[in-house]
Amino acid sequence: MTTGTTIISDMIYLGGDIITMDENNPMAEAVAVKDGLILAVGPKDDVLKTKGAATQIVNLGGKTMLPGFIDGHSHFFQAAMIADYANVSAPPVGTASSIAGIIAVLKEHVAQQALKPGEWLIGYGYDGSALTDGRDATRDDFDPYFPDNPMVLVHVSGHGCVLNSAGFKAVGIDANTPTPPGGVTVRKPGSNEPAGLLMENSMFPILMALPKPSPQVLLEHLTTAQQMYASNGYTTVQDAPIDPKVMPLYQKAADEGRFFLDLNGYWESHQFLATAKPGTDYRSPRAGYYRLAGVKVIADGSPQGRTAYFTKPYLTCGPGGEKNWRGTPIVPPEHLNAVVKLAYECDAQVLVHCNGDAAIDMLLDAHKAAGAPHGRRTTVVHSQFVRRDQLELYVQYGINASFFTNHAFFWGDVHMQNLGQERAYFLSPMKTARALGLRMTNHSDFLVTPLDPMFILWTAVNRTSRSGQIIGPDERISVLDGLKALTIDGAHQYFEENRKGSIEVGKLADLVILTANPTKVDPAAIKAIKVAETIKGGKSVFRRASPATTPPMAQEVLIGAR
Amino acid sequence: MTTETPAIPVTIIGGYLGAGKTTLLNTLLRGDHGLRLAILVNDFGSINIDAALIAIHDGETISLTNGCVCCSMVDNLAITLLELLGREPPPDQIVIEASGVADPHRIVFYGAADPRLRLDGLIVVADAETLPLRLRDKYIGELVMRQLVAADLIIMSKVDLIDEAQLGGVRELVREIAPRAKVVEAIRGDLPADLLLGIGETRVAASSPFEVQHGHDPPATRQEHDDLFARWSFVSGRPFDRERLLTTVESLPPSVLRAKGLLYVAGDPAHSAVLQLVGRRWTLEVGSPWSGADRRTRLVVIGPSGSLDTAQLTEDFSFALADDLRS
Repeated sequence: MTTGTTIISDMIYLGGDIITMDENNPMAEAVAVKDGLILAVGPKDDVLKTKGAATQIVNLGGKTMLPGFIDGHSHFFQAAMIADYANVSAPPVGTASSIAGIIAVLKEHVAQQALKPGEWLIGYGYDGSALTDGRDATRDDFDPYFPDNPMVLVHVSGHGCVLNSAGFKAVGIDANTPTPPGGVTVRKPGSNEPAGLLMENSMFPILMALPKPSPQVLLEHLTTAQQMYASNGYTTVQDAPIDPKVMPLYQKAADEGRFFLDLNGYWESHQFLATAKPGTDYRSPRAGYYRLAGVKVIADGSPQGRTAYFTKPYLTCGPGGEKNWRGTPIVPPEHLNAVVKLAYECDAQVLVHCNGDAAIDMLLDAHKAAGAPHGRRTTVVHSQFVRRDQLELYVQYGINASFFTNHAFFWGDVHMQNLGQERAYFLSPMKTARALGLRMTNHSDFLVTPLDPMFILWTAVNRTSRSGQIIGPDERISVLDGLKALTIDGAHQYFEENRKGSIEVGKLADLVILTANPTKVDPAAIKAIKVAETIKGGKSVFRRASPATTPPMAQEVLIGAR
Repeated sequence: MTTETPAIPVTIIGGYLGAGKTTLLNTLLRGDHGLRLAILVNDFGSINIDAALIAIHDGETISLTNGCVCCSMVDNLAITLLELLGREPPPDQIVIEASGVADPHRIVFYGAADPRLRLDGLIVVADAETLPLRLRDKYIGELVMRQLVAADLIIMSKVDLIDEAQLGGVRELVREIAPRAKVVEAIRGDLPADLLLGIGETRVAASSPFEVQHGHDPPATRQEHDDLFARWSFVSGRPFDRERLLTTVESLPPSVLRAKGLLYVAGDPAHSAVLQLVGRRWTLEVGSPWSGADRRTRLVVIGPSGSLDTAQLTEDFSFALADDLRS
């Protein structure tokens, strides 16, 4: 049992499995919290020694407590952007598996948002190929229900959209609008009338037509965005890179006390190069919730889009029909080298998006060219198609990886086609990385895949694709290793392992309560586990209302906690 | 967009880091071309505009005293272009600095993404001194090669920094990679605006040094040379035979770097045909209706002084004129 002196705690949690993620004290019966920090954690009787008259006792009712989840990588601001948008994704990301399903989601959204005629109705996550209707949606599907609201449903790829008639009218696209080169405008059979779906360059006019929320509205959306993350059990979130236009907004939000989760932000790399000065300490301890932790560089594209950069060609052609295509870097090596060098001089952490192994080679060369200093925890984000020899260099250099096993589910089948079995099976190779002693996180890359950490854990442990194939059976990891990637290794990634990532005396009371114990359920059932409550610094920031699954006594205690 | 509002030409300047794109863009911004250019750059850091030229510096847009603007593409390119199109008055021409690692095929799409825009051409700058090294670079070698292959016009910069033998080697290298490429060699970005941006309408209209009658008169031609570039112009009251014209244009030599013409083509007496040529890209499209009965071809070609064979051009284009079936 670990405890301080005879300080009286504010709250004590007991009555469920407490997975501490502390190797010295892995399972506990109770946790005591005082002033937002962990006061005691261990056997029930020992922890109860900190009970005083005012101490609230919370019965977990058989639920499982873990350290609050730490976001290995996502685009937090996108959650703020979609705050007013409808989620028209198909399962498992949303609920709309058909056009009728999309309409139902949109109707609810219109009611909830109290949309007035003329106001834009915006949805995200549209994917025609996922619909049971077997065809893309058209304006005729939506017009009867939404005649007065210009509607746009953004395609899951971000490279297309579907409009209704009011939408086409608002952006000025009609039968006389030619299809621009590099664009796709689906037209009604036997006519030039646009049917609904626009892809790539045909989307051009939409960009200007969409309403831009005012700074004040965006500030309010930051609260909704944090609630989104909190409802998924996160107590630390990331935004990398921060759009230069958004930086002042974050600062304002911090000044106005709008943050209640920790946000680690990373500079956009060109802006960083232009403004950063050696001697500025980017790794100063967190003063408040918002902290600029370093810089993010994007070195290549996406493997499913065939813009990730490889040493060996894709089996398929390039996105423009190119033969023998390996992808390309999307920044020159000079840029990456300069950013890494300056970041090391400024003591700013470097995150680099690399999907293909050639992009990773570029990053390793940049690290070497900058003197390969130790202790920088430079992190390769995604690092999906890293080679084994590169993993060994990560360990040698002290480079971290933030993997993305969700790809096994969402694009595993696509990667088998594009890259072949050998490379596809080794995507986000967490088992091999773990065996080599690498520190690694596992992320959502929200909006790209859903935030849900239990889904991320499920893909790490199962690696099952949409078609049911196991994408690399040898790289499936244990639940505990999967949880490390969502907790303590996340804290380590941010140089915050002294404050977070495990339930230990003196650390922040950043906690999450789950409806079941991921180490005890059938691995296939991990993704059904839900977040019951999220606690940040000892304060509840999210509570799920679910009377059906919570035993009445515990429910009373939870809700009654004052 | 009305038929009277001509589409705004978009010229894309590509090429790897250090090739000389910025020098070229600076030449255009300072130049005496009278055009209100909008130049889109990746960031202002490299462009280094002469302070004396700056009228307003407003975050992402620098307005120059000569009517040009320089915009930094902090937002994405599509949005920056759309904002430019919304300006009053809109620019005369848009020049986009493609990033050093840009995929040229994607960038050229932007030139035609909106009906108010017309792709003028993709000009790729290559540094003669470092090109062989770049082409062998394990990270960007293939990319540099693809840029050269995609180029309408290649500008070989810094040719003064290498000796004849090296230059010969570089020329050979480019010929191997991009056999159909048209290459112009330059020192310090010193190239005339009409080569880089195209030949203006007024220039073409002014290219009739003599009064020319329609019908049977032989074509009138004129040559002008400066140190580096020659301009040849051709005027004729007789129409071109369409097939022969197409063949002639298709087989123009590498020394023809730019051409612009309002042509009278047999088979369409009502409209001019507009010929636009930049490097190896050319288009022939229906133009405005002729005003009145004044139908005559006006064509201007630019090429390097040393190699432009104006006599051959005269012969080839004269041959393309329709046979006069009347005696």
